[in-house]
Amino acid sequence: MQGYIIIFALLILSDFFVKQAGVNVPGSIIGLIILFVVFCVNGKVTKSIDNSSKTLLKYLPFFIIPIGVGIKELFVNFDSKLLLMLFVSVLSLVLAVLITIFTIWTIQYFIKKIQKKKLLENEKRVEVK
Amino acid sequence: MIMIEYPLIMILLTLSMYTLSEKIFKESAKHPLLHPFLLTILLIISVLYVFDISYLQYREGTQILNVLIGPAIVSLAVPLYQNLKQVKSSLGLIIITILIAGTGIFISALLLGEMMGLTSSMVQALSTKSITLPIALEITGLTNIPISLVVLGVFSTGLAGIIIVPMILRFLKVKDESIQGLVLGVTAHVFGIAKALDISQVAAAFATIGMVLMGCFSVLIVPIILRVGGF
Repeated sequence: MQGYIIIFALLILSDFFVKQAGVNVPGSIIGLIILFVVFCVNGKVTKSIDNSSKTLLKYLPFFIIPIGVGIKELFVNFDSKLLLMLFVSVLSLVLAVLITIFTIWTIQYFIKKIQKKKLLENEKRVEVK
Repeated sequence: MIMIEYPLIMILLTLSMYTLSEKIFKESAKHPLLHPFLLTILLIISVLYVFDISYLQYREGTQILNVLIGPAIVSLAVPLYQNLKQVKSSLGLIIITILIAGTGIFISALLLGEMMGLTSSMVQALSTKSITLPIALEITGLTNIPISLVVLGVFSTGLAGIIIVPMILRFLKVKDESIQGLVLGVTAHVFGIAKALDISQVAAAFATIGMVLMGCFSVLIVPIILRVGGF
């Protein structure tokens, strides 16, 4: 149970900080970053936090379901342009995935090129010596 | 109808539909169109229609589940840390990807919306659709985009993302789990993380970093793009 106490308390503190400081990042993400930094400083994850987080993550999709059901509400006052918006939303998702994958591939291509160049330079240096 | 007001009934409904959906999903040899998440939502909406229960009543009865999303997001720090070694060597790749692809995603959605003749508030809502809902809602506060449309954009993207993103990844033969996770997190936010958790903890860590950085970046860039682009 100790893990839950730490996670919940951290979230409450983060939410409080966000409200006080007027930062445009949700408290949950601030809490995530703080917990991550704590792990880095300590060099390990406490067993109790590990167990609690595994349970919470297992049920994360389940927790989101009630918000998903909210889609019902949006179609009560049906606007034909909503269908078009859904279509555009899905279409731009496909575009987003393609943009992301091709960006990653391009960056990887340049990383490989730089690494090859470095390798060649090192070889040359060895030859000169 | 008195039973509807019994506090546990909506949780029971959600739990039983979720369990049923998971069973159907397993029986169907994990067909993507029968994803337990989608199926549960469709089943619950049908039950609400049949028994004439409003969404507000359902929402009130399941408030406790909503409260638990925050702690679940915080606890994503665990897979994040546990996969730090694998992420560390790719951190540069992740950050540059988000800066370039993120900007591309926001602008392409806005342009596509405008081209298809959507109303201006719908076009604006499309800019936040690849961001996790809490951050997307923060942006509505900065830019006056209607919340209902933002929710529609975010959830249509997330729900479609569960099915479409893995399809494209398979089609383009992207086999690296970390890249699969990163693409899922960047394009389909929390839904992407949920899907990445099915792949592996490494994928979930990349999806988490992708989602978090994409969210933070969006808070800074989306209001600027909206202002400069005149959307």
